[in-house]
Amino acid sequence: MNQDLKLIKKHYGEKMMHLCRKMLPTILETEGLLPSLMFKNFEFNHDLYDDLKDNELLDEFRNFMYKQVNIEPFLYIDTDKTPEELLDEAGYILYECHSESEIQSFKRYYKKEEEICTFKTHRLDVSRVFFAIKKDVNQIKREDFIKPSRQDLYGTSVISIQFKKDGTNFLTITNRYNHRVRNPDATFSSNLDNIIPGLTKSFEKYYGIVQTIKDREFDIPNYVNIKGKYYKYNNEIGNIYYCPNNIIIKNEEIIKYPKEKYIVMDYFILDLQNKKIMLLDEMEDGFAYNINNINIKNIMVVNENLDKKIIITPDKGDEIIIKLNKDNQIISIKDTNIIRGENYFLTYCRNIEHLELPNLEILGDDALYDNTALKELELPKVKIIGKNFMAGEETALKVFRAPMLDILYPYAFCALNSALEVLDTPKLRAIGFMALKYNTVLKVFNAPNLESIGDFVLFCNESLEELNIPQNVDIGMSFLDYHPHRDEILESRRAI
Amino acid sequence: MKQVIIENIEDYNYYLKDKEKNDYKITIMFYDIELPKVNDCLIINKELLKEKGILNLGLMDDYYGRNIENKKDKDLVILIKDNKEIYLKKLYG
Repeated sequence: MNQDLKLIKKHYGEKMMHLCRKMLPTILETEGLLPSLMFKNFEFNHDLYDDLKDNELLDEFRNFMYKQVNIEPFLYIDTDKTPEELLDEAGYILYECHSESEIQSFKRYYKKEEEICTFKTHRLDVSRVFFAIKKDVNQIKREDFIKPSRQDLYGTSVISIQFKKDGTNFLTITNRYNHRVRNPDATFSSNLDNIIPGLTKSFEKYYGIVQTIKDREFDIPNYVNIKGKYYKYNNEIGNIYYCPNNIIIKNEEIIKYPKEKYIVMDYFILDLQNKKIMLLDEMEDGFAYNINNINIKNIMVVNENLDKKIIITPDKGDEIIIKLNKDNQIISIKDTNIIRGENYFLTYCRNIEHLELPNLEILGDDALYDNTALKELELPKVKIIGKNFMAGEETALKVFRAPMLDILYPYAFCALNSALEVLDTPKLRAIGFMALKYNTVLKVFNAPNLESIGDFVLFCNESLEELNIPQNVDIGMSFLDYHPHRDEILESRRAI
Repeated sequence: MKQVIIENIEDYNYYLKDKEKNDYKITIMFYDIELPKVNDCLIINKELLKEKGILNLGLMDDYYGRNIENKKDKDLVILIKDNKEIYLKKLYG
């Protein structure tokens, strides 16, 4: 393996090395050029290949890299063949649409709820619209494609080629799966020559359609481009980017915190020497507040393969254990000392899968707001949970047990949660506005001490089978509105 | 997300300006809502402001777009019109 590829493998991983070897042979001909381009444009990161592949950006990466050395990544071949002839060779029949009814005639090729929004009319006001249909389209069945992929046989069997009518002729190639796949409007990487060589020039020659914009912005989801270099980030909060490898980007300034003194974990900056947690930009977080209000005797960091375990030993009480994944995102916390969690407790921590707070009694507002990883949570002593608990994202929480919970404050306890199947809160007296609004799968709601239910609680639920609440509960508006047997469920409620 | 004000409209072309006085010109097709007017605002993801093709926006339950389930989704756009917030999402195809 040549030295350049070894460097790529070291800093970006083996898959990336193979990709570069396959896609960038011209660049590899010049010794030292490939690593220098990669180092200049991409912060070291072994996830880069997977992130490009998952977002269908491999071709775009190739084009981007060749542009860095002013090499046209693509030679647009000249031809005397018409677009119809070329597409016929590629197995398609080409149609141009001149009226709305002609456009609508292609709707039949799409599965319901996968139709392209071209069918919502008026597209001809802004675009020139063509459809290319595979000659064997009737043999390509949607049900045979269980895991849609943008470039698979089904996705590319019916495409709409559209040119914007603003002089640029900006090209869009839509996909038969539409939004079921990523970047559906960039099928064939928005390059006609990827369908069949010569097609770009052919459209120029025979339809007079000259694309003046062939370059696209190279955007990678969850990467930020700062002064030309792409950085992967874990969190973006208030325009500050918190990246793996102890990097924070603020106002386009790259700040690298020395690893012997600090650990940047999610959006917390753990100061190992001064034994405290710092937050930027006057941010608040109940977890940081708690750590900063105890006397810490020692902090130990243990590497466990690519993960880390941080052991905080307080003057009084048990050790607090925090586990981080390879990107320094918090995945687990155990704290047996904490009794009160202040507002914004772990509010932006998306990736916590395990939380052990056995003595927590009060949890403030906006706790775990952005979490999407916890599947089960037990808070055995919690009595009060503030508003917006796990309310910001579609949470994965399936089981929630809080045997001492008395009050769930208003505004959206897990409002967006559609996964919760078990809600075990036998002492619950009040459940606030919009709690579990989007939940559809909860089957048993056991709250024999309940006194009040806020508006829109369990609004979308269709699965509830057992409702154990007292007869005289004060029930708000739109409780179980979507449930097909709402009236029977309400009549059958009983207290155990 | 960024807030931009609609400074001018020509056919489907919307001329927008943000708080930092950056200008944007995007071709937008709005579906199933009353069209915005000059001085209405959009709260929109920075990525969508780079659109060189056509940005299609429709209502949240429109099946030509993805399901939007959180306020940070990049396809979510909020139109502020007559002091009301109208939630829209990017449509595809």
